[in-house]
Amino acid sequence: MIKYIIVRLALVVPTVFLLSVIVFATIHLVPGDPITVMFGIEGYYPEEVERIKKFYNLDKPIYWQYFVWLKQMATLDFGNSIVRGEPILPLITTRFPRTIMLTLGSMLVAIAFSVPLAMMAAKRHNTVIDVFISGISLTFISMPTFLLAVLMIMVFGVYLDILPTTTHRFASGSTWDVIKGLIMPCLSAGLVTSAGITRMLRTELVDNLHKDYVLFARTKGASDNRALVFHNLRNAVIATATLVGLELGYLMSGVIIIEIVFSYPGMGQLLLDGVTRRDYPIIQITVLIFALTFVVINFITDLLYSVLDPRIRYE
Amino acid sequence: MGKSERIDAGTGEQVLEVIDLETRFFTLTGVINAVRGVTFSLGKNEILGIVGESGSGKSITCLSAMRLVPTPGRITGGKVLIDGQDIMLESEEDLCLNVRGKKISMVFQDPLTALNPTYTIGWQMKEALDLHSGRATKMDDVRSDLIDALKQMNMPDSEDLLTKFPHQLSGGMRQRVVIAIALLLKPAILIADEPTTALDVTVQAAVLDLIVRLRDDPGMSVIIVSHDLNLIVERCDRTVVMYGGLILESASSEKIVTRPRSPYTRALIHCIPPLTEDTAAFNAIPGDAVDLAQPPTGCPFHPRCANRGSGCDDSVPDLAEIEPGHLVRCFYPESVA
Repeated sequence: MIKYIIVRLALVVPTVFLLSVIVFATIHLVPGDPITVMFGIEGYYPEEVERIKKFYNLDKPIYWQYFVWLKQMATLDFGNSIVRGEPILPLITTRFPRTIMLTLGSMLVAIAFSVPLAMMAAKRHNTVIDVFISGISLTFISMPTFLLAVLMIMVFGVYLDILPTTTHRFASGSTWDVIKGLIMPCLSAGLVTSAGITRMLRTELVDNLHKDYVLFARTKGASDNRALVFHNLRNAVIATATLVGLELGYLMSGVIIIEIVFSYPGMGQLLLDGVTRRDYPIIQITVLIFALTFVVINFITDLLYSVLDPRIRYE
Repeated sequence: MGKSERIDAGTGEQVLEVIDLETRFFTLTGVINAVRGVTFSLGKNEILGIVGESGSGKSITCLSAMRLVPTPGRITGGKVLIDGQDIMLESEEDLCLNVRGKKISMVFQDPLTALNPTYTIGWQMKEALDLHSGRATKMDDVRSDLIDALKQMNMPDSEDLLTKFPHQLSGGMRQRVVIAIALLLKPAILIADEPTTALDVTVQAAVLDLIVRLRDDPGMSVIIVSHDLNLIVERCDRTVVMYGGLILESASSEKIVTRPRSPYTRALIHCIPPLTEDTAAFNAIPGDAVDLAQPPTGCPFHPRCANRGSGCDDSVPDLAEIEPGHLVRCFYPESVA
């Protein structure tokens, strides 16, 4: 087990290296650079442009820039934002936890909705209740996150006026303000995610319904519900964990849109801002962090298997 | 059909009585009559065999006897008396707490799937205890009891076993664990549904002997269900032959083998290849097994029957006692040769 963890962690190094190359190359391939965005294509102040380019090493060959950046990353020196002119590290440390909070909150919503719904559907499979739950899931699966977000803003934020429509005063608000601000973003991302999990978990549960170990538990004297939770669900979560791991990754990228709809001051906004202004250091670090988080989530999912399924032991 | 046709072993006390049991499956494509009025009883310390092809209703009969018919199936008629009490009238909670696992237990065909792969053997054994004591006992308190139960099943190295997962054991070991769990609360009745079909031939005999021995050791009544007539008649006192959801013949195992009166039983015996001859081909019963969704009118076996005569496709014959303790459902039973 420990050996497996070490090997997996060692594999992260080449993964991250490859990632950094792709991230760096992609961004520099995109037409336009931060200086052009700032001064316009005409170039009214050629000397000034040259000076800034020199300052940020933008006049050097691309491989040279890459190695400089790599050296910075290795020493955890994130540098300054070209457009904002402020250091990047504080931006990341305040915004990254917020995005994680939003992602995990959405996943929590997704699980809180999908597990009971899937169990209800499986217990009454092929009945009206099952069809109804499938219908709801299908609706949410086919619905883009931002549409649900906008609909919710209209209903809860405008007509009912019970929840804040933006979360831009995040830093100054109280804990209750933060929670209130998180409700709608988490619900809109979470509900869409829950649809997929519900469908998968329901299928797994129905498959297990007539498994011998579930029936054997019943002959031992377990009630219908106990057999469903302790025997059926316990096995159904193994396969569903894969999907939850994947969905968590998708959620990370999905919340970028949610952040923009709700003016949520997280990594997504930072990234969008960086992309529109070609702020290279910002884009590079945010994309790299998103990618790294993806790697970490996958790693945790893999480890989770051996916890969930005793037949899987990493030797 | 429909009348209560008692089959008594003659030993007096009956621990299990199934009377006119009817189980139907309400599927989207139609109703399947899996069990069509089955009546039999199980005497104290008796070993009863139920033989039939797949789809004969033997497994569903057993599950019905525990009121555990899987959806979309439902028991639509009849009674199941355990210790004289009709379990059809009892509440589901009562059945869980006092009947299943405590008075009547069941062992399944495939030991590889009967144990939950995600829990240790010890957990799954302890669960059986906890379900009936209504509280979670501490493992330390029951460890010695569990080890004893495993030892009774001739399990070696029992101390270690409790922390093992099912996949770490062989098929034969797993079946012993399953039986140990089924017997943990010392039920009076054990139903073994094809208990050895999935096991190696070498292990089969050992597990069967273990089950047969239960009659004497804790003093139990056992039902062995199988499609293997040989296996049943060798070990059971009495044999019930089922086809198409009906009992076609019921008699002592000796009579079933030596003087079968139902043409179906005879055909089954005829299927067993003799070891003495150099047989090139197996004898099979012509035609296909009965389709329970569209059973033939009259006797379910008549399309494949050699003795078929007028009236066979008209109505189902009654299960008649043609000699003491020997019941046959046939208009044209085999003559005693």
